Amino acid sequence: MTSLTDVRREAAPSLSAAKPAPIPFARLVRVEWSKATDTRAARWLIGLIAVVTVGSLAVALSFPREFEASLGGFVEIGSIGLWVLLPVVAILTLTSEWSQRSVLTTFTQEPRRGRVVGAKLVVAAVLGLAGAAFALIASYGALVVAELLGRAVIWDAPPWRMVVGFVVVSLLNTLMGAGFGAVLHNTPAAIVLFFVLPTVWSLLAFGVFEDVGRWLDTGQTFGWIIDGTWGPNLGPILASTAVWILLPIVAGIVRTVRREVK
Amino acid sequence: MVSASLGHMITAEELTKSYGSMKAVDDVTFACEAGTITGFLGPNGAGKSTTLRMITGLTRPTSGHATVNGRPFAELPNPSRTVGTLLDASAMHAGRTGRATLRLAARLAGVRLDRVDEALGDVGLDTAAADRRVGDYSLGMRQRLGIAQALIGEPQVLILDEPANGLDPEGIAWMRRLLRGFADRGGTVLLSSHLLAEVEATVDRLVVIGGGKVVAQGTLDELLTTQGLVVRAPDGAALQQALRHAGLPFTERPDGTVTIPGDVPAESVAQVAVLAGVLIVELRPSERAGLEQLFFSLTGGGADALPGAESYPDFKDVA
Repeated sequence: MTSLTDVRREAAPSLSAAKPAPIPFARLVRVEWSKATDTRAARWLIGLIAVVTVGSLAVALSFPREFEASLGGFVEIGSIGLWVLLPVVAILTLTSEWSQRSVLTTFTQEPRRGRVVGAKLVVAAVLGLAGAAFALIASYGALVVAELLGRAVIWDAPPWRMVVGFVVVSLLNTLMGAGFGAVLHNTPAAIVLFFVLPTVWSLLAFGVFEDVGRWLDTGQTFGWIIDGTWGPNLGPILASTAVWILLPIVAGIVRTVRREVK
Repeated sequence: MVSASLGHMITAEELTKSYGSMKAVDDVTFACEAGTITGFLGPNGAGKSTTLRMITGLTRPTSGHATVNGRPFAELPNPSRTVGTLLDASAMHAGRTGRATLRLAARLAGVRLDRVDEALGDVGLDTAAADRRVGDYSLGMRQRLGIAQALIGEPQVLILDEPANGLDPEGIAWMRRLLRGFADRGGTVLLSSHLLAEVEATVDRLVVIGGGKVVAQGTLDELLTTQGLVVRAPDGAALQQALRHAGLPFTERPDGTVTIPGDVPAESVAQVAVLAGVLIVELRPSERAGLEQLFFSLTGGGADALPGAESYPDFKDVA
């Protein structure tokens, strides 16, 4: 007579009768985090962000006459890689499953597609916050190095408005990339439009319709957030956030939920 | 477990999918019982994949609905614990290793990570293969990985689209044993194929689809023992004219003979021929129709031959 264990052993793959519980959102986020960071493209990009951040701070340290050794000055230099490359990581998080067609697996494992997009957006937000933290820490480290090199370092109290503004813009910029990815489902298109569309808008705003343009020019509104002058510019800041970030995200969720997965 | 899963584990009811004016899937109805393997058979472009995607919630039906384990797929709380799916073996991230792919699926399903090694063992992917990038896999290896991924959540139901594609004969035999074992433990399998030879020895039941419509379904035995008459006349056109006139359904076979399905007595056919003045040189019961012949006659050279299939009312609802 075979025991139950023997039967189980032979029965691989066994058939379970347990009634499954829904997938918790936290688990979705953890799995999406792994997907966003375990591919070669993502690892190269994240590595590149680290290298560019440290490298541009090294440039700032090498030319003390050109760059003021203050937290504000160094963060401005140290965040170049962040502004350009982190949104690309966020775009890939939202698009690569469509180009690799692994959405077929993802959406059969979790058919509530809105939750999957939500988890990916949380991942993008965490990336944006982590990137900001890294750039701040690296800039601070560079200031310490400048001090050790005997440079004139401006150690004024941390301008908290600037720090908060910097973190917020890093978050918004990353989410904007995620939004473009969410609605376009296509990596090259999302990357190109992410960089081209706001620039084209800024140019149009400059020449053609200044009033409307000023309200939606992220170059300007993000600058206000970092400068800490968001109080008087709240209208344009909210309007540009709504149009360039909220709108693509909402449209992306709608499109993802409705799209036929082949 | 077995008693709980008695009854229909997969149902498709009047599933229809239109793209513009084209009906890719037209009123498809069938059901799969626990403990059985159902073959979903049809030529390429017949609507198999679209139907499977509608059952798994990836494609929204134009009308009709489908359930798995009594619920619409999208309402299953953690679907991969109930139903394992393999819809396209090439739809995996090329940059991940096989093992990484399975780990993600296992984590999302919420099963212990030992399942990854178990599933790799079940499909015969060794450590070296598991640690290679999926982009370097052959199609056969991807199929095995896809089946491992479908099995990872220890489901009671498997839905596999062309799982034998890219497998060598040895691989097909392996898959047959795997699926048979799964069904023998009470599992339900629905697999599609465009090749008869792949499924003939694997499945208990067949649903044959052509041009988006179900043209025959039933157990393998029922479909195989379907009798009919083979008639040969030197003047084929005249014979067909006479049969059409008499209202007898028939299909033309590639060798020029005509097959009349169902229980039409040979005498009636002879009478029709005599009355029409058509010379018959052969009139006999068709040999135990091979599945191949059935498949060929039902779907002909593809979707174009479908009007012929409609003259097979007897084959419908054989189940």
